[in-house]
Amino acid sequence: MKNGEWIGGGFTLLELLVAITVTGIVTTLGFTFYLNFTALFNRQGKTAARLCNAVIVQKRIEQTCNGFSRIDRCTEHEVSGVETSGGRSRRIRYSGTALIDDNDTVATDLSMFRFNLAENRADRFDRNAVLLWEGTLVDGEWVGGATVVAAK
Amino acid sequence: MNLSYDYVSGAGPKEMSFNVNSAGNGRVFPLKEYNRNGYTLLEAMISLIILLVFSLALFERFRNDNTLSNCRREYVAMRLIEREATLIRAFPHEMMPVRRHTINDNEWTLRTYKTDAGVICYTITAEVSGIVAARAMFYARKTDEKR
Repeated sequence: MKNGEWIGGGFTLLELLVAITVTGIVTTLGFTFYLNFTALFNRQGKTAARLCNAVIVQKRIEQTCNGFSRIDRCTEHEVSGVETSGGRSRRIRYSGTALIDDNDTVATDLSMFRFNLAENRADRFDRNAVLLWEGTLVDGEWVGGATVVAAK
Repeated sequence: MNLSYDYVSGAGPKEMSFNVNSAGNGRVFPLKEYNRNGYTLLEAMISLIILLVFSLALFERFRNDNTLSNCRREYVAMRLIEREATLIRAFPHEMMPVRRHTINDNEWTLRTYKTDAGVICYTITAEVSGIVAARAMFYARKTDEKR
């Protein structure tokens, strides 16, 4: 070796090739993970949003149905009766994809909704009834509940 | 300028020395500051492989995370149980031990057990696909039952 000649450490071609290959594999896998994670989080985010929306709709319908003190008429898509506060008559109906309380929209984007009035017919002294309701939102979430009311 | 430093043996003056590069363009390198202490390729590869294994494990953990699905299932189960409990409270004599509901093509089974050991106790379970999604228990007064 001559004095002053540069013999500093470098990489051989083989080392470089191996390093590039390993880096390539790791980068590819990392990118795949990133894409999969993004898709996963998106999916979970959408599910959470749907569930959150279902809870809100559930609460709104529950509040609306709890406002009845007496049910006069109940069909699959409509229920009418007397409201608890004030004693005025009130009607809730399912029309199109919306649930409408008199003129106020309670919930939208319902692909199915139905009422059912369960009455205790065995006991003529017990005039209680249970207003059952259930519906499906357009995104597939199910909502449903029951309220004790006085039957006509 | 001292050009007598030997890289291989390390012999030479310990004070700052310089080396002229082979291209002869006049650029100089500080010899003493040159640091050859790095990681070998093997070390780097092992660390990358370990990183990869941990990433895979983490990914599998997140991929199989069905907390939200369970949450959704439990939510529907609790709504069904609430409905059933309201019906039982209103009409205790019409209690049905088993009731089935079909929701989004899933068949739910509501099982109600009644025990009367001084206090009447109802236990309702909601099952779907053989999994008990939720269970609730409530008490009733004897006077309600005798109505």
